[in-house]
Amino acid sequence: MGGYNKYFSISFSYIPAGIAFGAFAIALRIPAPYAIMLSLLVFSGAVQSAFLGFWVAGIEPFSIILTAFLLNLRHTFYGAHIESQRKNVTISDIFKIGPFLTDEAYALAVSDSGMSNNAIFALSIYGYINWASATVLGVFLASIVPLHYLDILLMALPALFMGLLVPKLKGNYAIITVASAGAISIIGRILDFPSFFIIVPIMLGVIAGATFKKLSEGGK
Amino acid sequence: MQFLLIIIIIVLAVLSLVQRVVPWIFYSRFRENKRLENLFELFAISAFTSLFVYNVQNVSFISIAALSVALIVALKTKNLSLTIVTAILVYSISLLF
Repeated sequence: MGGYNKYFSISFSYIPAGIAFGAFAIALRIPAPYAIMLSLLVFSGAVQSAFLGFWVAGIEPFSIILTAFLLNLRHTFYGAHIESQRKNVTISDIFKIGPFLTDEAYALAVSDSGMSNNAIFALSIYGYINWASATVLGVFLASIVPLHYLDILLMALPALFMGLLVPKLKGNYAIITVASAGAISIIGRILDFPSFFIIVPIMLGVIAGATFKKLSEGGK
Repeated sequence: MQFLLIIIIIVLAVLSLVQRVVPWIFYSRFRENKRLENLFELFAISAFTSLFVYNVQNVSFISIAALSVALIVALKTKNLSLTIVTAILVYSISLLF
Protein backbone atom coordinates (compact mmCIF):
# COMPACT_ATOMS: atom_id res chain seq x y z
CA MET A 1 0.00 0.00 0.00
CA GLY A 2 1.48 3.34 -1.05
CA GLY A 3 2.33 6.01 1.53
CA TYR A 4 -0.21 8.51 0.24
CA ASN A 5 -2.87 5.82 0.09
CA LYS A 6 -2.48 5.33 3.86
CA TYR A 7 -3.00 9.04 4.50
CA PHE A 8 -6.04 9.10 2.20
CA SER A 9 -7.44 6.05 4.01
CA ILE A 10 -6.99 7.76 7.36
CA SER A 11 -8.71 10.92 6.10
CA PHE A 12 -11.53 9.02 4.40
CA SER A 13 -12.28 7.18 7.62
CA TYR A 14 -11.49 9.71 10.39
CA ILE A 15 -13.07 12.79 8.81
CA PRO A 16 -16.52 11.24 8.21
CA ALA A 17 -16.52 9.54 11.62
CA GLY A 18 -15.24 12.68 13.38
CA ILE A 19 -17.89 14.85 11.72
CA ALA A 20 -20.56 12.33 12.69
CA PHE A 21 -19.34 12.26 16.31
CA GLY A 22 -19.28 16.07 16.59
CA ALA A 23 -22.71 16.42 14.99
CA PHE A 24 -24.36 13.67 17.04
CA ALA A 25 -22.84 15.05 20.25
CA ILE A 26 -24.43 18.44 19.55
CA ALA A 27 -27.73 16.79 18.57
CA LEU A 28 -27.70 15.07 21.98
CA ARG A 29 -27.12 18.47 23.60
CA ILE A 30 -23.59 17.83 24.80
CA PRO A 31 -21.98 21.29 25.09
CA ALA A 32 -19.61 21.90 22.15
CA PRO A 33 -16.46 22.41 24.31
CA TYR A 34 -16.96 18.99 25.95
CA ALA A 35 -17.51 17.25 22.60
CA ILE A 36 -14.26 18.76 21.30
CA MET A 37 -12.44 18.03 24.58
CA LEU A 38 -13.45 14.35 24.27
CA SER A 39 -11.88 14.14 20.82
CA LEU A 40 -8.74 15.98 21.90
CA LEU A 41 -8.14 14.05 25.12
CA VAL A 42 -9.70 10.62 24.68
CA PHE A 43 -9.15 10.17 20.92
CA SER A 44 -11.13 6.94 20.67
CA GLY A 45 -14.20 6.63 18.47
CA ALA A 46 -15.42 3.60 20.41
CA VAL A 47 -15.11 5.18 23.87
CA GLN A 48 -16.53 8.49 22.66
CA SER A 49 -19.52 6.72 21.06
CA ALA A 50 -20.09 4.84 24.32
CA PHE A 51 -19.98 8.20 26.11
CA LEU A 52 -22.82 9.42 23.84
CA GLY A 53 -24.83 6.34 24.81
CA PHE A 54 -24.31 7.04 28.51
CA TRP A 55 -25.14 10.69 28.00
CA VAL A 56 -28.55 9.65 26.65
CA ALA A 57 -29.14 7.03 29.36
CA GLY A 58 -27.78 9.19 32.19
CA ILE A 59 -24.17 9.74 33.24
CA GLU A 60 -23.13 7.10 35.77
CA PRO A 61 -19.34 7.40 36.36
CA PHE A 62 -18.54 3.82 37.40
CA SER A 63 -20.38 2.24 34.44
CA ILE A 64 -18.87 4.56 31.86
CA ILE A 65 -15.32 4.04 33.15
CA LEU A 66 -15.76 0.25 33.31
CA THR A 67 -17.17 0.28 29.76
CA ALA A 68 -14.23 2.35 28.53
CA PHE A 69 -11.78 -0.05 30.22
CA LEU A 70 -13.41 -3.09 28.62
CA LEU A 71 -13.65 -1.37 25.23
CA ASN A 72 -9.96 -0.45 25.39
CA LEU A 73 -8.90 -4.03 26.20
CA ARG A 74 -8.49 -4.67 22.48
CA HIS A 75 -5.64 -2.14 22.52
CA THR A 76 -3.65 -4.49 24.76
CA PHE A 77 -2.07 -6.28 21.80
CA TYR A 78 -1.87 -3.42 19.27
CA GLY A 79 1.55 -2.08 20.25
CA ALA A 80 2.90 -5.57 20.86
CA HIS A 81 1.86 -6.70 17.37
CA ILE A 82 3.47 -3.64 15.78
CA GLU A 83 6.68 -4.29 17.72
CA SER A 84 6.71 -7.99 16.83
CA GLN A 85 7.04 -6.96 13.16
CA ARG A 86 9.85 -4.47 13.83
CA LYS A 87 13.00 -5.05 15.82
CA ASN A 88 14.04 -1.45 16.38
CA VAL A 89 11.21 -0.11 18.53
CA THR A 90 12.58 1.92 21.44
CA ILE A 91 10.85 3.04 24.63
CA SER A 92 10.80 6.54 23.16
CA ASP A 93 8.88 5.20 20.10
CA ILE A 94 6.35 3.60 22.44
CA PHE A 95 5.76 6.91 24.24
CA LYS A 96 5.50 8.76 20.92
CA ILE A 97 3.23 6.34 19.03
CA GLY A 98 1.32 4.72 21.90
CA PRO A 99 -0.92 7.65 22.92
CA PHE A 100 -2.11 8.10 19.33
CA LEU A 101 -2.51 4.42 18.44
CA THR A 102 -6.06 3.78 17.28
CA ASP A 103 -7.78 0.84 15.59
CA GLU A 104 -7.15 2.40 12.18
CA ALA A 105 -3.49 3.36 12.74
CA TYR A 106 -2.78 -0.10 14.16
CA ALA A 107 -4.51 -1.78 11.23
CA LEU A 108 -2.55 0.23 8.67
CA ALA A 109 0.76 -0.29 10.53
CA VAL A 110 0.47 -4.08 10.74
CA SER A 111 -0.70 -4.27 7.12
CA ASP A 112 2.71 -2.95 6.07
CA SER A 113 5.53 -4.41 8.15
CA GLY A 114 8.04 -2.27 6.23
CA MET A 115 6.54 0.94 7.62
CA SER A 116 9.09 2.72 9.82
CA ASN A 117 8.41 3.82 13.40
CA ASN A 118 8.57 7.47 12.33
CA ALA A 119 6.08 6.80 9.54
CA ILE A 120 3.68 5.18 12.04
CA PHE A 121 4.09 8.16 14.34
CA ALA A 122 3.44 10.62 11.50
CA LEU A 123 0.37 8.66 10.40
CA SER A 124 -0.95 8.55 13.98
CA ILE A 125 -0.48 12.30 14.49
CA TYR A 126 -2.09 12.94 11.11
CA GLY A 127 -5.06 10.83 12.26
CA TYR A 128 -5.29 12.78 15.53
CA ILE A 129 -5.39 16.12 13.66
CA ASN A 130 -8.01 14.75 11.25
CA TRP A 131 -10.15 13.45 14.10
CA ALA A 132 -10.00 16.66 16.16
CA SER A 133 -10.62 18.93 13.15
CA ALA A 134 -13.49 16.76 11.92
CA THR A 135 -15.13 16.90 15.36
CA VAL A 136 -15.01 20.70 15.27
CA LEU A 137 -16.46 20.62 11.74
CA GLY A 138 -19.20 18.22 12.89
CA VAL A 139 -20.10 20.53 15.79
CA PHE A 140 -20.48 23.34 13.24
CA LEU A 141 -22.35 21.25 10.63
CA ALA A 142 -24.86 19.99 13.22
CA SER A 143 -26.54 23.38 13.12
CA ILE A 144 -26.90 23.53 9.32
CA VAL A 145 -27.17 19.94 7.98
CA PRO A 146 -30.00 17.52 8.87
CA LEU A 147 -28.56 14.63 10.89
CA HIS A 148 -29.86 11.87 8.60
CA TYR A 149 -27.56 13.14 5.82
CA LEU A 150 -24.60 12.61 8.12
CA ASP A 151 -25.55 8.89 8.34
CA ILE A 152 -23.90 8.56 4.92
CA LEU A 153 -20.53 9.32 6.49
CA LEU A 154 -20.81 6.35 8.85
CA MET A 155 -20.27 3.97 5.91
CA ALA A 156 -16.57 4.85 5.93
CA LEU A 157 -15.47 2.84 8.96
CA PRO A 158 -16.90 -0.60 8.06
CA ALA A 159 -15.50 -0.10 4.54
CA LEU A 160 -12.07 0.66 6.03
CA PHE A 161 -11.95 -2.52 8.12
CA MET A 162 -13.32 -4.60 5.24
CA GLY A 163 -10.62 -3.20 2.95
CA LEU A 164 -7.93 -4.04 5.52
CA LEU A 165 -9.28 -7.54 6.09
CA VAL A 166 -9.42 -8.66 2.44
CA PRO A 167 -5.63 -8.93 1.86
CA LYS A 168 -5.26 -10.96 5.06
CA LEU A 169 -7.66 -13.70 3.97
CA LYS A 170 -5.03 -16.27 3.07
CA GLY A 171 -5.40 -19.85 4.31
CA ASN A 172 -8.21 -21.79 5.92
CA TYR A 173 -7.25 -20.67 9.43
CA ALA A 174 -7.90 -17.05 8.44
CA ILE A 175 -11.34 -18.01 7.10
CA ILE A 176 -12.12 -19.88 10.35
CA THR A 177 -11.01 -16.82 12.37
CA VAL A 178 -13.18 -14.47 10.31
CA ALA A 179 -16.18 -16.83 10.44
CA SER A 180 -15.92 -17.27 14.23
CA ALA A 181 -15.30 -13.62 15.10
CA GLY A 182 -17.90 -12.47 12.56
CA ALA A 183 -20.62 -14.89 13.72
CA ILE A 184 -20.14 -14.07 17.41
CA SER A 185 -20.04 -10.32 16.69
CA ILE A 186 -23.29 -10.57 14.72
CA ILE A 187 -24.93 -12.57 17.53
CA GLY A 188 -23.74 -9.94 20.03
CA ARG A 189 -25.28 -7.18 17.94
CA ILE A 190 -28.56 -9.04 17.32
CA LEU A 191 -28.91 -9.71 21.07
CA ASP A 192 -27.99 -6.05 21.69
CA PHE A 193 -25.09 -6.81 24.02
CA PRO A 194 -23.17 -3.71 25.20
CA SER A 195 -20.40 -2.47 22.87
CA PHE A 196 -17.62 -3.68 25.18
CA PHE A 197 -18.72 -7.24 24.28
CA ILE A 198 -16.49 -6.74 21.19
CA ILE A 199 -13.51 -8.19 23.08
CA VAL A 200 -15.33 -11.58 23.29
CA PRO A 201 -15.61 -12.24 19.50
CA ILE A 202 -12.07 -10.92 19.00
CA MET A 203 -10.57 -13.36 21.52
CA LEU A 204 -12.81 -16.30 20.50
CA GLY A 205 -11.86 -15.68 16.86
CA VAL A 206 -8.18 -15.92 17.81
CA ILE A 207 -8.78 -19.14 19.80
CA ALA A 208 -10.77 -20.72 16.92
CA GLY A 209 -8.13 -19.77 14.32
CA ALA A 210 -5.21 -20.91 16.49
CA THR A 211 -6.91 -24.20 17.35
CA PHE A 212 -7.69 -24.91 13.68
CA LYS A 213 -4.13 -24.07 12.67
CA LYS A 214 -2.68 -26.31 15.37
CA LEU A 215 -4.98 -29.22 14.47
CA SER A 216 -4.30 -28.89 10.74
CA GLU A 217 -0.53 -28.72 11.29
CA GLY A 218 -0.69 -31.69 13.66
CA GLY A 219 -2.55 -33.75 11.05
CA LYS A 220 0.22 -33.36 8.46
CA MET B 1 -22.68 18.39 36.60
CA GLN B 2 -20.02 20.22 34.57
CA PHE B 3 -17.35 19.39 37.16
CA LEU B 4 -18.35 15.70 37.03
CA LEU B 5 -18.19 15.77 33.22
CA ILE B 6 -14.67 17.20 33.28
CA ILE B 7 -13.54 14.57 35.80
CA ILE B 8 -15.04 11.77 33.70
CA ILE B 9 -13.38 13.06 30.52
CA ILE B 10 -10.01 13.27 32.30
CA VAL B 11 -10.37 9.73 33.69
CA LEU B 12 -11.31 8.44 30.22
CA ALA B 13 -8.30 10.23 28.72
CA VAL B 14 -5.90 8.73 31.30
CA LEU B 15 -7.44 5.27 30.85
CA SER B 16 -7.11 5.44 27.05
CA LEU B 17 -3.49 6.54 27.37
CA VAL B 18 -2.53 3.90 29.94
CA GLN B 19 -4.24 1.03 28.10
CA ARG B 20 -2.44 1.96 24.89
CA VAL B 21 1.04 2.41 26.34
CA VAL B 22 1.47 0.16 29.41
CA PRO B 23 0.78 -3.27 27.77
CA TRP B 24 3.18 -2.31 24.97
CA ILE B 25 5.96 -1.42 27.44
CA PHE B 26 5.29 -4.72 29.22
CA TYR B 27 5.54 -6.68 25.95
CA SER B 28 8.69 -4.78 25.03
CA ARG B 29 10.51 -6.38 27.96
CA PHE B 30 9.70 -9.91 26.73
CA ARG B 31 9.89 -9.33 22.98
CA GLU B 32 11.97 -12.42 22.23
CA ASN B 33 8.86 -14.55 22.33
CA LYS B 34 8.56 -15.44 18.62
CA ARG B 35 5.54 -17.70 19.07
CA LEU B 36 3.37 -14.70 19.80
CA GLU B 37 3.77 -13.33 16.27
CA ASN B 38 1.40 -15.88 14.72
CA LEU B 39 -1.14 -15.16 17.43
CA PHE B 40 -0.88 -11.42 16.74
CA GLU B 41 -1.64 -12.04 13.07
CA LEU B 42 -4.76 -13.98 14.07
CA PHE B 43 -5.61 -11.21 16.52
CA ALA B 44 -5.47 -8.66 13.67
CA ILE B 45 -7.77 -10.74 11.46
CA SER B 46 -10.19 -11.29 14.32
CA ALA B 47 -10.11 -7.63 15.40
CA PHE B 48 -10.70 -6.32 11.86
CA THR B 49 -13.66 -8.68 11.49
CA SER B 50 -15.28 -7.63 14.77
CA LEU B 51 -14.56 -3.95 14.17
CA PHE B 52 -16.19 -4.29 10.74
CA VAL B 53 -19.36 -5.81 12.25
CA TYR B 54 -19.51 -3.29 15.10
CA ASN B 55 -19.00 -0.30 12.82
CA VAL B 56 -21.94 -1.10 10.56
CA GLN B 57 -24.33 1.46 12.07
CA ASN B 58 -27.25 0.96 9.79
CA VAL B 59 -28.23 -2.50 8.51
CA SER B 60 -30.42 -2.02 5.44
CA PHE B 61 -30.60 -3.21 1.86
CA ILE B 62 -28.82 -0.03 0.76
CA SER B 63 -25.95 -0.34 3.27
CA ILE B 64 -25.47 -4.05 2.46
CA ALA B 65 -25.47 -3.23 -1.28
CA ALA B 66 -22.94 -0.42 -0.76
CA LEU B 67 -20.63 -2.67 1.29
CA SER B 68 -21.00 -5.50 -1.26
CA VAL B 69 -19.91 -3.22 -4.11
CA ALA B 70 -17.05 -1.94 -1.90
CA LEU B 71 -16.05 -5.57 -1.20
CA ILE B 72 -15.81 -6.26 -4.94
CA VAL B 73 -13.62 -3.16 -5.32
CA ALA B 74 -11.45 -4.30 -2.38
CA LEU B 75 -11.03 -7.78 -3.89
CA LYS B 76 -10.23 -6.45 -7.36
CA THR B 77 -8.01 -3.47 -6.51
CA LYS B 78 -6.76 -4.00 -2.91
CA ASN B 79 -6.95 -0.19 -2.78
CA LEU B 80 -8.18 0.93 0.64
CA SER B 81 -9.06 4.52 -0.20
CA LEU B 82 -11.01 3.44 -3.28
CA THR B 83 -12.90 0.88 -1.17
CA ILE B 84 -13.98 3.53 1.34
CA VAL B 85 -14.96 6.07 -1.33
CA THR B 86 -16.95 3.40 -3.21
CA ALA B 87 -18.95 2.50 -0.09
CA ILE B 88 -19.79 6.15 0.62
CA LEU B 89 -20.61 6.93 -3.02
CA VAL B 90 -22.81 3.86 -3.62
CA TYR B 91 -24.66 4.53 -0.36
CA SER B 92 -25.16 8.22 -1.24
CA ILE B 93 -26.34 7.48 -4.80
CA SER B 94 -28.71 4.75 -3.57
CA LEU B 95 -30.37 7.24 -1.24
CA LEU B 96 -31.28 9.42 -4.23
CA PHE B 97 -33.57 6.72 -5.69
